[in-house]
Amino acid sequence: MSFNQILPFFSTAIMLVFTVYVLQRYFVRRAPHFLFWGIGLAMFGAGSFAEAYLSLAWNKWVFFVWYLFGAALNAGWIGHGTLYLLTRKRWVHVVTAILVLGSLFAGYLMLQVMPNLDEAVFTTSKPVSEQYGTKILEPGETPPAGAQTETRTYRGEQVTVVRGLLPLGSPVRLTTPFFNIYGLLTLVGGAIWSAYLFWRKRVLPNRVIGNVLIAAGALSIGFASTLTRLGYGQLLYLGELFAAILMFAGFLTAARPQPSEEPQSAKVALATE
Amino acid sequence: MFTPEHHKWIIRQFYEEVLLDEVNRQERMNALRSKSHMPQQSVFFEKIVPILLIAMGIVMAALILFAAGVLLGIVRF
Repeated sequence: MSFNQILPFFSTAIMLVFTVYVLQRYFVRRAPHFLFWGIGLAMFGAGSFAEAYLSLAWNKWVFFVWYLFGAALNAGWIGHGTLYLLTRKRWVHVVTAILVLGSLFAGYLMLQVMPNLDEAVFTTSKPVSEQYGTKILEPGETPPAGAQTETRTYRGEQVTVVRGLLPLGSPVRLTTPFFNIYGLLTLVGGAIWSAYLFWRKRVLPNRVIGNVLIAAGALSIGFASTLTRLGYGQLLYLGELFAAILMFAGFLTAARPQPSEEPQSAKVALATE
Repeated sequence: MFTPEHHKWIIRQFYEEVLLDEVNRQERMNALRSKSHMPQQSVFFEKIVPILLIAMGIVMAALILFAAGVLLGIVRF
C-alpha cells in the first residue's frame, strides 16, 4: 500500500470527529445549517472511508458510496448548510427541495449504471480516483502508464479509450458538475462573503480566520477534483486530507466563543459603557 | 461611635470593592474588546486577509468555469 492510499484513513478519522461535532451542535440548537453541514460532512467521510476500503479490496457498493457521496453530492450538501446560515428566506426551502430531488436522481442514475461497471479494470495498486472514468484518447495522445486501452464504437465512431470503472458517457457523471458548482459557490463563496463581512466591520477576527480556513479547505478539494478530471487523480487524497484538516480547523476557530457570547453580565457591562 | 480603626476599615473596603473593582472591570472590558475586534495596524488583517480573499475568489471562479466547461462539453472527460 502506498503512502497516497493511507491518506483516506486519516481523512475518514478527521471527518468522523468533525461530523459528530457538527451534528451534536444540531441536536442542541436545532439550526438547519448544522444539519446540512452534518449530512454533507458525513457524505464526505463516507467517501473517504470508501476510498480507504477500495485501496484494500473491491466492492461495487463501496464504489457506489465513493462516487455518489464522495465525488458527487457532499460539496452541494455542505454548501447548502452555508446557504441556510447566510439567509433565512423562504426560497432556500425550494432550493432544499431541488437539492434533495437532484440527489435522489443522481442516486437513481448511479444505480442504473451499477450493472455496467467494468469491474475487470479495478486494481488496488492505484487509487480509485485514477481508474473510475473511461476516457476517450485523442489522436496522438498517449495513455497513462499501466492504463488498459481498447478500441470500441461510440456514437457511431471508432474511438480508442482508456478503460475505467464507469462506462463511457455515463449520465451520472454529468450530474457531478451541478452539485460541485453549487457546492463551490455556496461553501467557498459563502465563507469568503462571511469573512469579508466580518473583516469590513473589523470585528470577530476568529470568524475571519475561520472562514478563510474553510474556504481554503473547500478550494483544496475542488482543485484536487479538477486535477482528477484532468487525469491527475493521485493528488485527490492529499487534497481531501487538506480539506478535512483546514475545514475542521476553520470551523473550530469560527465557533470559538467570543465576547458577544460571554455571560450576560459582560454583555450588559459592554452595552452600558 | 466610629473609631479611627472603623474609618480605616471603611476606606479600605471602599478602595477594594469599588475602586479596584472598577479598575478590574475596565481591564476586563479592554480584554474583551481586543478579542472581539481586529488588532490595529495588523499586517495579517490589513494586507494578507484581503489578498487571500481575492485570490480565493479568483480560484473559485476558475474552478466554476472549468466545471461549467465540463457541463457544456468544452472540456472533455
